Amino acid sequence: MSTIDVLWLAHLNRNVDDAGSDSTINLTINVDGEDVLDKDFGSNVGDGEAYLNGGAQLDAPFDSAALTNASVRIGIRGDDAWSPGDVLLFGHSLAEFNSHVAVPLAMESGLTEFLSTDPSEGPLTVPLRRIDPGTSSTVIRRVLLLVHTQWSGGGLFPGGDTGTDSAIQLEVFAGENLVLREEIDDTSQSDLERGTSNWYVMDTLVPFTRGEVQAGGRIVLSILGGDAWKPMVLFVFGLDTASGRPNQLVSLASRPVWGPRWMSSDTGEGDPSVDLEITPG
Amino acid sequence: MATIEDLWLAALTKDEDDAGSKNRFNLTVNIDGADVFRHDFLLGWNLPGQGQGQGASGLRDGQAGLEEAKPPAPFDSDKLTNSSVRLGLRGDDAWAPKHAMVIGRAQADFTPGRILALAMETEIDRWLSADSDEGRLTMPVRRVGAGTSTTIIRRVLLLVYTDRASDVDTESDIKLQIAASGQLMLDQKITHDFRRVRAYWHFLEVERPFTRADVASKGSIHLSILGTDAWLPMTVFVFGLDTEEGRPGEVVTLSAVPKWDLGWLSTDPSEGAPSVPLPISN
Repeated sequence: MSTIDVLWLAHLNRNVDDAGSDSTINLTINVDGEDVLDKDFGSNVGDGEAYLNGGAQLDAPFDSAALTNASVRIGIRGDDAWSPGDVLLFGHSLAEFNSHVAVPLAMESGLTEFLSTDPSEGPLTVPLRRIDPGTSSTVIRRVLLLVHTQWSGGGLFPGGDTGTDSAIQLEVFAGENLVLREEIDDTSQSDLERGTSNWYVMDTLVPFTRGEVQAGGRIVLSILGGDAWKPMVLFVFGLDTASGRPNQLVSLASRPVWGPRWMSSDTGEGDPSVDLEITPG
Repeated sequence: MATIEDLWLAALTKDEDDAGSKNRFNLTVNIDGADVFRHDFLLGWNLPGQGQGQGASGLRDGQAGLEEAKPPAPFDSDKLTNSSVRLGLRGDDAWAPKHAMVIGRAQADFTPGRILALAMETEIDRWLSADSDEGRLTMPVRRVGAGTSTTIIRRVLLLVYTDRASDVDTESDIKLQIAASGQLMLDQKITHDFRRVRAYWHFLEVERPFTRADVASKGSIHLSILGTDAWLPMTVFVFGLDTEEGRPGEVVTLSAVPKWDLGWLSTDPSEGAPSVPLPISN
């Protein structure tokens, strides 16, 4: 059981014509007939692009254990039809906000329908089924990296060039074994641009567990060039399936507040690599 | 267990300014993460002379709707939870529902298919709209129990729909009477017109509480007309509610005639019968 009082919504639009939408997205969470959340998100991202938003404290915290497969629905408030391919809802308890624990709540992948208020275009809402948060011994076969790049550099660089054209790399070590190394560069998304979100799924070299990473392993995020980058929030999850919708989604690292540091291979501008704190438990 | 093969959405719009909506009414039924039913109901349709434009759909202020739709595949009503059913609106012409109810018809086994209430909300305090400034996109409609023959009934809900054929409507008053255990438990006159392509939703007070078993034993349900303007209703549902006011926990089907086959009603014997006994549900 986790008391959820901070919520995050992430989605990746299908990379097909008109999948993006500027209509407002509506999320409802129902527990035993009562809507514990009815919230709008101004997503407004294009075809094949990702969205990540949240972090605000909820008016009414709820117990994640009370959710069922029928509890969560996502809908649209306009007739600019929207076609998400993957959607993830996760949260934190405020008490654990800084302890790098993100609690996966509901997820769908491989969606194909368009949502719209126009009945001729598609359903008004679709369900998001509950996802199991797994354990430290869940076998992880894929990794999901969610990241949002700062809009403003702040400090000496207000409004600065927070996005980067440099590639980044995620590495996961289980004990001393390298189990994932993925370079992210020039994907179909607007990669790591200022004020944008990205959703990257990568295959592991070999399956691993969070427990193995906790036992002397590391999760390392690196930047491979000198174009400095400033993330805003970053989450890493492990998926238990090699393809399709996962049954379990394991939190590996969670940085709901990235902090003041930039990343760059030019050490005068930022850190070339960062060890991400591994989710405990 | 009841395997549901037909659904009706019944709703009453609040009788206040702009409560009605021309948009479609979206109903979803979800079982364990899968939508077993999704449908956009018109609920109201306007014939020439009924205002709001011929052919316009939707519900006007204070107007009720009752409409049937079929799920793509039958589903088990026992698997519904309080989170399963949601009602939404397909546009920004905000709608203020007062009451809403989802009714199902179970697949026939050895007896004709049973009609039962699945979900219900009463005295709804929210507006629905796709415009976030005006209301919620969707709202939950919680599960209600179908009760049993011994559930104590403290109120009755009469739902009536009259179809579009010529002259099937009436300006005559009608009356619903329910007798149970040899006593008249309900005797209520309804004095408004029953217009074509219109549904009506009436909560009716009872003289004293009773059960469906009391009606089945030395009892009856009669629908009568009190004038000569002949009437041919299309659908008549009579439910017993276990609460005197507010949202019921149990909704007992007393009589259900989804497709009227009991003839015309009129006090003029050349046009119809002044009163017909309604079949008592089991």
